[in-house]
Amino acid sequence: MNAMDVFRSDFPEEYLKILAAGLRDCYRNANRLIQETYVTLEVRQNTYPWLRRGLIEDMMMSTAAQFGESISAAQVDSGHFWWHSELRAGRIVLTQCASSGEDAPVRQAQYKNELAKKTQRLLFPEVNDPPNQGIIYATLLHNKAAGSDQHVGYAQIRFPKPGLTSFYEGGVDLLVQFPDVFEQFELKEEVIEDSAIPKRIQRREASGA
Amino acid sequence: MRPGTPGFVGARLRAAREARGIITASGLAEMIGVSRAAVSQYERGEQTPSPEILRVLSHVLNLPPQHFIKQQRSSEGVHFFRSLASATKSARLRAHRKYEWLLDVVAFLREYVEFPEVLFPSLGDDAKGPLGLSNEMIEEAATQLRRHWGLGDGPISNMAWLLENKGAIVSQLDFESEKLDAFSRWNPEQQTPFIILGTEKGYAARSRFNAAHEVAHMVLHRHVTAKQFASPSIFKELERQANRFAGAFLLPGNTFLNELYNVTLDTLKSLKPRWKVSIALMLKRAEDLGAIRESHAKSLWMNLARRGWKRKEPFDDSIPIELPRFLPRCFEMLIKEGIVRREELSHRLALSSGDIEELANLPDGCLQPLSPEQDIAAVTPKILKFPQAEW
Repeated sequence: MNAMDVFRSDFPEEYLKILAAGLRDCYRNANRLIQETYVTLEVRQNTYPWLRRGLIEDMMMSTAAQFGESISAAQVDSGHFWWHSELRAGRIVLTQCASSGEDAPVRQAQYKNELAKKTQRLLFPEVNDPPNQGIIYATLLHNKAAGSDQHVGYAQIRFPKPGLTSFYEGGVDLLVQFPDVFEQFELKEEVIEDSAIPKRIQRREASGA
Repeated sequence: MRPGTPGFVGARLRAAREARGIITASGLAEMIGVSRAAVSQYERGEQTPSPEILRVLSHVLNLPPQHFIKQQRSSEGVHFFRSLASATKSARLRAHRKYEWLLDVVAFLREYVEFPEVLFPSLGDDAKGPLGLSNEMIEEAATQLRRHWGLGDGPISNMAWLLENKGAIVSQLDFESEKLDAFSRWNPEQQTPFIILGTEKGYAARSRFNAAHEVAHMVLHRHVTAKQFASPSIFKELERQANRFAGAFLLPGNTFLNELYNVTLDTLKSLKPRWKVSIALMLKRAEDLGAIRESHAKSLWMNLARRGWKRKEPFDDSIPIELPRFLPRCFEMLIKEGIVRREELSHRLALSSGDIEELANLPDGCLQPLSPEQDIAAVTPKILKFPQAEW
């Protein structure tokens, strides 16, 4: 059994769509709030990632609450004055992290590494926790679209390996799985078709000679 | 008695002279070696030129001789010129005359080609007169037109194609004047909007704005009378309305402001490749929508000038110019299907091949002209021998 199999069986799929929409709105709202609150460009740039993180952590808690007992959510002390949101569904533990892109290492944090190590113990039972009792650590990795702070350009759920520099096989690309969610926000260009093709007027030939 | 040219239409000579930017009859007289009075008499229809003078006129004005024996089209109505006030009367007249030639070209094509259905609604009818349109009504009209044309509120990929798809005749002409950008006219005979864009300031962002500005005239001001149009205050107001409409059409308020989260010149610059409008227009639009304070706008305008963006903006060279393609395709089809031969078009349309190429946005030199001898021979029997046959 790989991490993705566990994820599919334990994590409510309908929640993923809500998570995707929530993430979309967090990016949008972070931008708006920053613009409304700060005047100086540099202050906006400094503050934006922190505000966005706060909104996403908060969104994870509030959206999970809609799922009653199937997902539990908690604010967990990360140490060093920080807290983070952890969602638990079956054996899945989900956190979030901004990422610099696909396959980029997860930003280092002690709690993430500890969770990743627990996943390893499940996947390699010889180490050895009893199978079906340990956890699978999943993280929602996300980043903005190129050139736009308010658009999500990357959003995947991946399974970090201990050390946080690589991933177990499998994952969920939220942009691919829920294109409609992100299209609702992404304003598409009105593509004008090249359709003015002249047609010859068909005339009835005169009868007779 | 000197032989004349039966059927010679003096008004055609005057129109041709004006189309070539020859302002006075004496200017033309000098070029063809006759008196000013003679040219005036030709133009007034009091006398017709001899075949020799016709040949010279044809050569000097670069038009086939039969051009001067076609009836002149009626040109009543209002031309909406998008130009600086300082654009010369001669530049406007030249553009007007070329529009008349374009009418001939389109009328010719309509004999063979089905044109797209015209889908230009009249949206300014609720206003009480041309001054009765409020900004809210203009914004609403821009939204209505987008919906009428099945568009959402995103950036429009190609304005020239859009207008042609909706039935406008779009042509791009060299106005030979830096002060004339574009003009449009609702043609009542063909019930068709003609939108003529200039090539002088060949930047896509500017051309797209000009196109949207002319659309405004076609949907908001179709029923403006020549008398109203002649009033400077009304003209100024119509231009303001058309500019407002163009901004609203190209940059719908809700969606544009969603993306314009931070009104700086750099943010506007980053949005330019996506919306394909000028930074100046985006800044003006932000002002119109109340997204920035007056003092902030003022400083942005100053910075824009300081960066040299009033003359040329970033991406001006990289956004491709949107070219009309319906008229050139019509000619391609007619020639390809053997309906007309390329070398006979000049004779059939009574225009030089270069003029047809320009009016229909065909590649330079693609229509081979007949030699002057062939051309004169083609028209001579009609103008010299026809009277004898009658007698």
